[in-house]
Amino acid sequence: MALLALLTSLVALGVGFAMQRRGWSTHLLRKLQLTLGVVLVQTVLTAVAPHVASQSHFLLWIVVCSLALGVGVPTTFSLTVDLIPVRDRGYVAAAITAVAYFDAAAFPGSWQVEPFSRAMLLIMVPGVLTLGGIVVLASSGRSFVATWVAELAENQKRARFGRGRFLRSSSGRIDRRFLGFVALLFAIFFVDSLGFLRIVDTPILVDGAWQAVTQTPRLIIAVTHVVAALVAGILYSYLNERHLFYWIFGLFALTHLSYTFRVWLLPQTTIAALGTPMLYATAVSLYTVVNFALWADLSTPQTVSGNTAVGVACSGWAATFLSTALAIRWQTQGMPLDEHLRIVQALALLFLLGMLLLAIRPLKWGVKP
Amino acid sequence: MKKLIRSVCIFLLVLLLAGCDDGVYSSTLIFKGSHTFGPETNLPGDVLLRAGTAEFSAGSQVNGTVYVVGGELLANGRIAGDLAVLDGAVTLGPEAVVGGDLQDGGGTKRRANKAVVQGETITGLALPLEETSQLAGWQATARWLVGALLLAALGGLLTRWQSQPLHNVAEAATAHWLPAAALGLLGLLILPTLLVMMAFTIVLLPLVIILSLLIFLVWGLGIISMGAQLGRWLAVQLGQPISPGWATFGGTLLLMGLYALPWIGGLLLGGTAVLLFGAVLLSRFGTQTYEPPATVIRTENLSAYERP
Repeated sequence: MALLALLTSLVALGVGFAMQRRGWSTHLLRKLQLTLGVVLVQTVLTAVAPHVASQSHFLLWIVVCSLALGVGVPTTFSLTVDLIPVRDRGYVAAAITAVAYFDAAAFPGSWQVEPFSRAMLLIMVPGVLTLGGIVVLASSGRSFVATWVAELAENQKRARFGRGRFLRSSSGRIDRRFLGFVALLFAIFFVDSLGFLRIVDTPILVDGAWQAVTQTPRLIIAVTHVVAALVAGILYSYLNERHLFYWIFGLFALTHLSYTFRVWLLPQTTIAALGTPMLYATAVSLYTVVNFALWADLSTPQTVSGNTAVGVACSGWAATFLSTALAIRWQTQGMPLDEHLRIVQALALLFLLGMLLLAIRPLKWGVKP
Repeated sequence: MKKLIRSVCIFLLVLLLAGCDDGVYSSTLIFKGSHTFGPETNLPGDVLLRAGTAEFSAGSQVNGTVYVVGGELLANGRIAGDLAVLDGAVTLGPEAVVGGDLQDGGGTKRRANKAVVQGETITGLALPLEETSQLAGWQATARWLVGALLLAALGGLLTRWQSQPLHNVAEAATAHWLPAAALGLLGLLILPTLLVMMAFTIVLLPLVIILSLLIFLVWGLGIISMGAQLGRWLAVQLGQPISPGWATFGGTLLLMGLYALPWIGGLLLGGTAVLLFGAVLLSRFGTQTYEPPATVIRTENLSAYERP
């Protein structure tokens, strides 16, 4: 896992800044060609995953997977500036989040490689064929698709596409404010992974929710994800960034507080109470929407690939890897569940408090409210 | 900054005052160890047994409900309320009397033949809802009318003294209904969990009361703001010059009347509760006009459209 995280981060950073330097960040057709390559590799990886039998094959699979992910993130995220107007980014992120989480929660299937591979290929193969057709026709330059792609490539030159809503400077380069967002997203990913890894390993907490035998609890969680994603999409468009992060940290703190009470009061009882999982689903949907839309909204078309690479590598992957390692270590050392969740809850509250302090002392910290 | 400090001081004062009232609620929490309550014991409130052992001797009295979520309970006295067992081990001795129901939600139970449960024995976790006496006929109408008149009168007075907050809330609810509804939905999704969590901590119980009061104030402010908007609109439609105070009075009364309609009233109340809760938050309790970001303002001017 360390190899996957480190290699993916390095590849993402390398590709992101290379795209920025070579001007591919503003070249729609080149980005589509790269995306096609990534999706092709990922489809092949998904198809061969059930057949990986030895350690050396698995290592090779991880390395190729890292390369694909590393190229994929700056490439696909930077398509945002060509395809989605700034005012609609929250809604588009909400739609993607809603569909992804609904499918994951409502149709989890068996948590094994073979069923996952089969299910994913059903979506990936038609996707590759469609994207392949568009890229081939656009690259040939002699069809209506080529004209259409050329028209789309002009979008980023307009203010309603090319200028992110959270952008303050005209350059869109990495500055202190950008790094502040990276730190906030890092904190969110860290808190989420640290808590959830332990929760999914605790049957009394997931048997009545994400891994329920009956469909109803999973469907309720799936619908909660959809509603929360739509709410998040609207709020992303209408609230300022500071308030969005207050809600996210507050929700995570409340969720883990709720889990702590549940474990503390009823340590052995399996009760299919869905209140806390629904709260968790709300928090996760909220921050996923923010993560999808944020990096493009902090960038110009010239800087979007590099900024996305830094954002996703330094917040998402770094935080998830570190918190996963920490969660596994705590679990193997025998840390009790309630203590684990209490630390996660305390961390979420600490981040919320830190943000409130920043809001009260804006001048001293150099951040405008 | 002075405003913030003043608000924090008032909040702390209210919190302290809430904690001053003796005997509002008292309970016994047992988290570990072995505890024996003799025949002279008379506990005033509920008992929560989470872990450890608690023994209530013959002649002892608990005046509330006993909740067992773990540990071991040996009861041989009188429990005036219910005995709710979610987990752990419970033994009812021959002298034991449960004045309420025995709610069996898990754990192990042993019951002496002579032990008495005066209420029902309920299996599962469904808690029985206490039947509240519903007022009927003219009593219900009179009660509704008094409440509606009081709220409408408060609205009228607020319009005379502080009309800007009402205007800000109403504008957020009508001109920016989408973010208001989204924020309201999110807030109302979280509030019940927050209240339950705070109540669980026991220490924060006074805050639950304050928060509940705050929710009521938010709801009231929202209704009055919408009533003011409705009243103004009606005045324009009727072509009658009505003073803002009376317009709010009439609008609020009409809104309350709509809420009292069967079926539609409930739906309307639910919808506006979400919308108004969000509008109050969006306008920060009416203290400021909500301005959406420039990126979401859509132009109707088609000449601005540019084909690539």
